[in-house]
Amino acid sequence: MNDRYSRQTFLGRDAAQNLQAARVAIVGVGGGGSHIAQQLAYVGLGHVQLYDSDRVESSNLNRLVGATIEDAKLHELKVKVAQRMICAINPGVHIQIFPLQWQLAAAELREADVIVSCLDSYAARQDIEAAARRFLIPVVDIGMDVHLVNEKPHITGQIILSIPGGPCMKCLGFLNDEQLRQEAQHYGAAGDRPQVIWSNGVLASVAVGIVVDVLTGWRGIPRRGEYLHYDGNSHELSRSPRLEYAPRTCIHFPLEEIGEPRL
Amino acid sequence: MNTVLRIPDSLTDAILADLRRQHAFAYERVAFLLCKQTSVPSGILLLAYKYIPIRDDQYIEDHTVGAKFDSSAIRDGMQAALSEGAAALHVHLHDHVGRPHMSRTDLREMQALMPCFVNLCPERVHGALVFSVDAAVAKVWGTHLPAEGSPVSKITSVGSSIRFLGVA
Repeated sequence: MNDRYSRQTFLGRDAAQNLQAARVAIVGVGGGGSHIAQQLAYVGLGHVQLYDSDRVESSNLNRLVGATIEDAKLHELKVKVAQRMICAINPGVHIQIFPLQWQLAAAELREADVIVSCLDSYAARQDIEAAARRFLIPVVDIGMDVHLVNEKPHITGQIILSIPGGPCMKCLGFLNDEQLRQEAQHYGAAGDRPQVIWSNGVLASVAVGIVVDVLTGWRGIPRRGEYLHYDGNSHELSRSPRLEYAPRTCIHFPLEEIGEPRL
Repeated sequence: MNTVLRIPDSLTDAILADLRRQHAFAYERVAFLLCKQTSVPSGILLLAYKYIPIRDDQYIEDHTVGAKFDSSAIRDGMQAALSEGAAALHVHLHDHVGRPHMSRTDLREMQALMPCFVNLCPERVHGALVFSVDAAVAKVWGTHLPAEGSPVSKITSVGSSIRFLGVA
C-alpha cells in the first residue's frame, strides 16, 4: 500500500481505490473552493474538475489558498492557481480545468461523481443542484456571509449535502422563491461580499469530510442529506432541524425525471 | 469508448432483493433495467431508472442453465426499450461476494440477444449487467461497438454514499 495514505486506512479497505476512481467537480475555486481543492489533493482523490472564470485580484489574497502576490499582479486564472497547488501536493491527480461558467461545460460536469458547489448566489445554487439531480450527482454546497446584528458583524454559513432522491435545497428551506426573487431584484448591486479565510476553511474542511464519507462510506451511517449551520462568531456548527422535517423523498426533483430534459 | 453506469441506491437495493427471490424451478432470476442514455465527452453515461423483472410464468424449465425464459419476456424487454427510448440492460445476480464475471454462457447468450435490441433501438446502447452481493460488471453493445461488446468502465450506486460496484 502507498505509505502516503497509511494514516487514513481507517477509511476502509476499498477507500483508497474508490477515492482514486472518483471524480469530484469543484465549481468555484475562490475562498472556499481553493481549500477544498487543496484538501482533496491530500486525501488521494484521483480526478478533479475545476470550474471558475475569475482571475486573481489583490482583494483575493486575504483568503485564496495557493495564490501569490505574483498571481494577483498577473491576474492569473483561479483554476490555474488551484491546478498548480494540486500538482505540487499530488502530481498523480488528473486535473481538468474549465476557466468558464460551468454551464458552458455542462457535459463535462455530468462526468463528476460528486459536485462541490462554492457559488455566491442562491440562483447559481439552484441551477447547479437541478443539473446535478438530473445526472444522479450528489452536491455538497458551502457558503458564508457576514450580517450586521445590532450593528456588529456576525459570520454565518452553511454546509448542505444534497443526495439524489433525498431532500433538496428547496425541501430544506435553504432556497425559496422569495429569496430568489429578492436576489434577482438586487442583481448587480450586492457590493463587496465579505469573506475571511478561517470561516471558509471551517466550512471547506467539513465539506471535504462529507465528500470523503460519500465516496468511501467510512462512517457506515446512512444519511439522506446534511444541513449544517455555522456560527462564525461562536465558532459552532449545528445540525439544522429542517433536515429532520424535510420530506423523505424530494418533491422537486423526482428520480423519475433523471436524464436529459425531453423537449 | 468509455461507458459509465449510475444507479440510484434505492433501485440497486430493490433489484438485489428481487433477484434473490426464489423461483419455483429456475436457479436464478432475470430482469431488464432501463436506463436514460446521455453523451459525455468521454463516451456514454447511463442512468438507470426502471426495473422490469421477468414474470414467473415466462421462465422455461431447463436445469442445464441458471435461467431460461420464453420469447415473450424478450419481447417485453424490447418493447419497453422502444416505447421509452431507453437503453436496456439484461440483469442477473451471481450470489457471491466480490467482482462477478460473465460466464461463457452469459456472453454467448448476450452476443445473440443484444443485436436484436440494437437493431430495434440503434440510437441507444444495450447490454448485460451482472451483480454480485457487493459488486457488478457490465458490457454494452451498440451500432459502433465491437461485436463482443464493450465493457462498462464504472458502475456506481448513488445514495447516501456512492458504492463503487465496478471500476475497470
